[in-house]
Amino acid sequence: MSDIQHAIEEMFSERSAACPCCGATLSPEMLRDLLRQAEHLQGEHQAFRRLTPGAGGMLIDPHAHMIARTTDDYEAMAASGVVAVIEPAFWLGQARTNVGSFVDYFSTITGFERFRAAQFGIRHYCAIGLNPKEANNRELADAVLDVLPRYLGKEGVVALGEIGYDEQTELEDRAFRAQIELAKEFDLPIMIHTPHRDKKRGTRRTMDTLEACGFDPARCVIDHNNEETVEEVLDRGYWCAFTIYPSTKMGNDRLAAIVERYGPERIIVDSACDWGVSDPLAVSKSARIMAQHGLDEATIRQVVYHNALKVYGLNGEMRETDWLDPAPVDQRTLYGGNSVLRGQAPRVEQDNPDRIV
Amino acid sequence: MNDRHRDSPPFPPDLPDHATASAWVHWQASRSAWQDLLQRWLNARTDGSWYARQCQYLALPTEIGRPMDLLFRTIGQAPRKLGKQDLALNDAERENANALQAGFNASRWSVDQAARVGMILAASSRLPNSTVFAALLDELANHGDIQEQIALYQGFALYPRDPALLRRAGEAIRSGIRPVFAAFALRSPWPQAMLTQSMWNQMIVKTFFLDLPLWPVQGLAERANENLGEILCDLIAERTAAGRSLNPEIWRLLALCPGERGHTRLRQRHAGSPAGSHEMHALQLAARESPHADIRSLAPAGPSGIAFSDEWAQLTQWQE
Ligand SMILES: [Zn+2]
Ligand SMILES: [Zn+2]
Repeated sequence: MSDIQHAIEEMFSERSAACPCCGATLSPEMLRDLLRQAEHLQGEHQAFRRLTPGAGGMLIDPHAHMIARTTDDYEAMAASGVVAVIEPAFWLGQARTNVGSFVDYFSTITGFERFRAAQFGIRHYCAIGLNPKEANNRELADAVLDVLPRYLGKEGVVALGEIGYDEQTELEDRAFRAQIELAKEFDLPIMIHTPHRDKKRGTRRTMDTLEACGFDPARCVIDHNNEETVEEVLDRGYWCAFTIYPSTKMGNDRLAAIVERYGPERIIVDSACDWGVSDPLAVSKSARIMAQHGLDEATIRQVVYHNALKVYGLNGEMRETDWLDPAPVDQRTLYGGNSVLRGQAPRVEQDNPDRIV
Repeated sequence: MNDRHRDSPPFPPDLPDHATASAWVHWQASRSAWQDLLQRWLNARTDGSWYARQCQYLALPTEIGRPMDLLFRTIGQAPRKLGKQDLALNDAERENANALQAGFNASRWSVDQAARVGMILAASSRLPNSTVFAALLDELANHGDIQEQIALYQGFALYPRDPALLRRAGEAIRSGIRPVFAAFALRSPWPQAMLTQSMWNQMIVKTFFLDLPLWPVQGLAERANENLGEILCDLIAERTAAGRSLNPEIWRLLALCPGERGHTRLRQRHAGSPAGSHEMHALQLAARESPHADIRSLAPAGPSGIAFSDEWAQLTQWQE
């Protein structure tokens, strides 16, 4: 028992106390719980502090729907050490009714969103693809598949994704297979969205299809994994990503346990932050919790940075030099002369609210 | 390929048809000279043969395949195939460029940007007129990533001076993406030659809102107008009331086209600025360029033949 805990025990023993801010009664049980939380947090901070020196503190969030996030999120992510994000194309919560909506969406995540991220010192990349939900609208799906080739060769497109299955329908299967062929044609890695319902069998079917189409597992990330799917995904040679959801599904502690058990090889962590309840700081929190679990720095770095860089760097569109030492033309046009290496602050003109006019 | 979203309604050209048609023929002649120029620049810096091959494909009047998809693909691949290093033109190359097209300034272009502009020129060789060319630009811009848009708008320096392109130009001015706006507005002879007065004024005022320098805009004196002077007076008042700073280049513009209020503003500011201050330097520099004798009299006689752009570049700390 810590000194503080001793002191609390002596002061209150089994008596209750009044909360200093709202006056409500705090039971001894509640007090102990508060204390546990405080110590937990302190432990995390200490572990994280041990982690940072020499590591550069650089993080990649390889799955983030930034068009749904605010500038506060960008600021917080940059402050937490995120140097690059990958924004995969997905649905928008609301079904789209025509191909023009997709065109504008793809143009947004290769255009304006890249500019927006750059203002906060974050390099923005994306994956382009037709998501399985909207693949179920056959006519629309055909039109989108027609327009995809225009985007797949673009600068900063690091994968074809998110694709895969949602309800595992025939139409989803059809769009999935067509896009695997496109990925081969454009020499792109694939980012897989695994279904949330019927996950285990859906994930297995996804891998079966990829292999039936002759796609190399070493060029493919299977995302949204859990304890039930991790083993087979790793065994079959895929990259295995975990999305950290704040309350349900995969949490930070469970990820740490998985890394303890399977090691850091081919394991990736992401926030998949979007319009729903999600945490854009999930990657840095995961790093902290892994440190608290006693995982060594090299292991953690591999999971929160190097693995994503390796697989999403396969087509040459995402390189470490992009943020450490960007091309002069990118510095001029997008990054206001900043590079992480030189430690310049990103240019966000605090005194000019008119910058986006 | 799905063609539905490809056909944009043509911008109604203001010129009579025959004038537009002959302007297009004339432009096609210059286009090949610029393409040769870009090819030479690229040969000297990178694998020019890949670029040359792509341009040949793009110029083929092919029936097969998807010519637009080829253009999207080659433009997309340009940085990967050729690199993104600066063109870093030497003096001879700069002069050469300027001789072919007055005001053409590629001093901040990169290799991939030059290639992308070259590819657009190559693809336009098989087009019948400016209206179709404008539709091609629309298609590219609407599907373009950020660096592709930047290259596309830099290319305006070499595009036909045809009203059919004004609608696309308007999108550049409207853009909320600062480097996209800058690619169109700065270091290009096209805006001053083509924009309507209201478009010109919007563009100029927006450079202040985007914290961009003004001196790289070509034709400031030629396009100065009283209407702009009025807008600037209001902007100065607005910023002053809010206690916010202003790019001092605004004095230069105001001195070029002061209405009654502008005259008063300039004289007041001149009287209120401490000698030797940054602002006084700006005001005096501005006054020297003014077409109005009473404003010129605010500045001590300077050396003749002063290179104003250099002076303003040094004076303003505003970075692009
Ligand atoms: Zn997903
Ligand atoms: Zn997602």
